[in-house]
Amino acid sequence: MAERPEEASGKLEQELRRGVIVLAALSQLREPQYGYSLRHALAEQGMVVEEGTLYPLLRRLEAQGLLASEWRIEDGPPRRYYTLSAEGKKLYAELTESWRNLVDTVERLIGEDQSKKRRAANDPR
Amino acid sequence: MTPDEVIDCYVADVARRLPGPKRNDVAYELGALLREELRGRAGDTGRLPDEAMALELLRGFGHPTDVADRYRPPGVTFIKSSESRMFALLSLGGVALQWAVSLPAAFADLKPGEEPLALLGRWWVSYGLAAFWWPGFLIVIAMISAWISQGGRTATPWRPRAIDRDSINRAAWILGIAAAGAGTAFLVMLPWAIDNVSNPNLAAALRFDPEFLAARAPVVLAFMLGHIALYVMLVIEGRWRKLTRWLDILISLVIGGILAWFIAAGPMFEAKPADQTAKTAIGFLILIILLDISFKVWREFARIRPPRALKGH
Repeated sequence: MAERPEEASGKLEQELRRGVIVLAALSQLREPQYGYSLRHALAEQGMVVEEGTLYPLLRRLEAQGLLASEWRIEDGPPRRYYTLSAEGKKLYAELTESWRNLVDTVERLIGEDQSKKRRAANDPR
Repeated sequence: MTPDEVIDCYVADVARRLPGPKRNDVAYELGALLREELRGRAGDTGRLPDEAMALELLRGFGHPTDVADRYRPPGVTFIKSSESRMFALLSLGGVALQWAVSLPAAFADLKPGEEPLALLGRWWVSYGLAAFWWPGFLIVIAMISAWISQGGRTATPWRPRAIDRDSINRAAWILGIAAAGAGTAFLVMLPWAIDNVSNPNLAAALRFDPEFLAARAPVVLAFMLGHIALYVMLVIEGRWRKLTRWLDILISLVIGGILAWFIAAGPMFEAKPADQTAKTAIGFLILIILLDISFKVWREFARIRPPRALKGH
């Protein structure tokens, strides 16, 4: 059955966001964070990530050696805090560079498209 | 249930699907995070957490099976999505083929007064269920193949191969036509040869049914000669064309139909053992012809051709 345009639009936006979740999470883990605090830190800056996506992601990144983690008991129940490992810091720098290049390229492409539309709108023929 | 009990139940369901070494650590952290999420939600709504609120949180989090999958690293894919259709066709086709052979054979042995349902039950617990060895075998092969590919042992780079399926090897085809001609000549001479066998018992055992020889045998012979004529034309032209490809399929189909008619229309040999042996062999031949036709028809439709919108341009 063919997908409805609004369904496709939702899925495509989800895919677009999914691609940047790792970079967004790594950006906030230069300082130690636990799952709940990280999700709130991201949400406060406009990056809402489902808890069901973020918490397992932290474990997977840790298993890949990109994050280091430890249990801490501070003001509240025991919490597992995550922070970038040496490998994670290196990857974060690489991903940031790739992201900036990607944004520049896509901006150029979108900009070209918009100027074409403007030219077409101004063309009296 | 209290909200904490609901969360504990959920975490236990996720935990039993997690790999052993990290199970306890991950489950403990997940429980703590979910409780914190629930408190956060309760704070946002200004009411105390309850069972409904906990359920809403957990349903949004995902089914325990999905959540456990998210915690695991990507596993090995035994059957890739591009191969799943072929896998399903092979598995189901193999089971269906075994049933198609074993079920009529079981009913052929139905004794007078025997309950068909009882026979069906016996067939099911023997050949019926046993047919499932085939999908199991395919899965084991797929697992071994995935394991070998994962080790990078068969990761060879893609290489182009000749895709001109219409070109033919003239020398091989000439040899094939010669063999087909010799086979046809052998079939034509066979009745005469049997009549002239010095051993009268052997002659009686292999003698063709006169009606078969007079009415049915010449029909298939005509189409076999037609097939040979088509192949001669193919060798002269040097490659397949759409017309010759479809003529080949059509003649095969007609020959298959005539052979089925041979089985159904009456005896081919005077002696029953020879007749039964010949009919079993013809049955297998029909199966091979049908597989060949299916492959050729599939290949016709699998050819890449210009989209309909481009026709006429």
